[in-house]
Amino acid sequence: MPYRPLLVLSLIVGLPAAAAAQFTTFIPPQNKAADSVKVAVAAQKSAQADTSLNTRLTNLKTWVDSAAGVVATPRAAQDSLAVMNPAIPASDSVSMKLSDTATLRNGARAPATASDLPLLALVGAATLGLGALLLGTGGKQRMRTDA
Amino acid sequence: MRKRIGLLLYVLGGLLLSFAGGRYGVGMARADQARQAWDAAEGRAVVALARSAALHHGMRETPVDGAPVARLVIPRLDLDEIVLEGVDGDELNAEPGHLTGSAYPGEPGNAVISAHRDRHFNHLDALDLGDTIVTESGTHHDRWVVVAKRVVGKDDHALFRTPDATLTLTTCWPIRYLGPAPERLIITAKPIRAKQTRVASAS
Repeated sequence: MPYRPLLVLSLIVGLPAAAAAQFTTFIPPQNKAADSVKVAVAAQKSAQADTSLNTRLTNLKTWVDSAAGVVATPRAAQDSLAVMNPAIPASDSVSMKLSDTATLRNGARAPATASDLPLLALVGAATLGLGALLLGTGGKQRMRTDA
Repeated sequence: MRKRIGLLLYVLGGLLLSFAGGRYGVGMARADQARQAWDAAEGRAVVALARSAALHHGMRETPVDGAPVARLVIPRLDLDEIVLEGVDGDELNAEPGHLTGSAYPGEPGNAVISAHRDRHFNHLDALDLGDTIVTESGTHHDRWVVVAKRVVGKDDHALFRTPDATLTLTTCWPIRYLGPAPERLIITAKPIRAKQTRVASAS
């Protein structure tokens, strides 16, 4: 009986069995994409849960405050401005002060806007001219006396 | 003796002239600084912050004296100046001043701007009823029309709060007068069209 066909047959039957034994110990790698999706979904669910919780708490606090007659504090002006226009410099770079007079006083007098500079300049020019005149005449008199 | 008196008067006159010229020079330098600050949009930001702070906090925060707060343009007088906060000597020596506590141009209330009669408002008497004035202040760009022109005594109670936007320009009267003036010239204007824009779009 020729043994060659028997050998081929045994190989055909035996090799897949050996390969199957190897596959039983194979540990497939984790699907990273599937994991990241799971993580993202979980994070989103967590965030949604937190946000809704915060919303419920905020609403509850607002309701309690309104029931107690507490007015909610408005948002700071500088914050709202910064949101509106980031080109506006921060408050510390802008010089502000608290004004004593909250509004224009009814019946206020118009500010005194008289300047002394024109009068000073006129008096100065006149004095300078007079001084120059005296100096000039004094020099002429000396020249006559010398002559 | 005569020469000494002459020399003394000569020096004294020179000092007085130098002082007056120096003050004018300082005023011009500060006016240039104010113009540069305004062009850099710092002044607009100051006013925007002050207005917003006043609206949100219920208390009045104003820029410090000397800060540029508005731009005043009067085409008839060929006047284009930056308005500084405050009406003290240093501010008025440089530019027209905004009376602290009054409204800013364009917002509800009476906005009062004053200037020296021998400087920026030396031709204010030429302004007639119907003439237009333009102001820029923070987020506002407004055109005004002159509706009243009057002369009052220096001690008269002439400035009042108004519920709507009003612009009041004041200076000493008579315009051509040396020394403390006995009267005040007061020009009142009302807005023609109030256009509110953001600082970003204005700059």
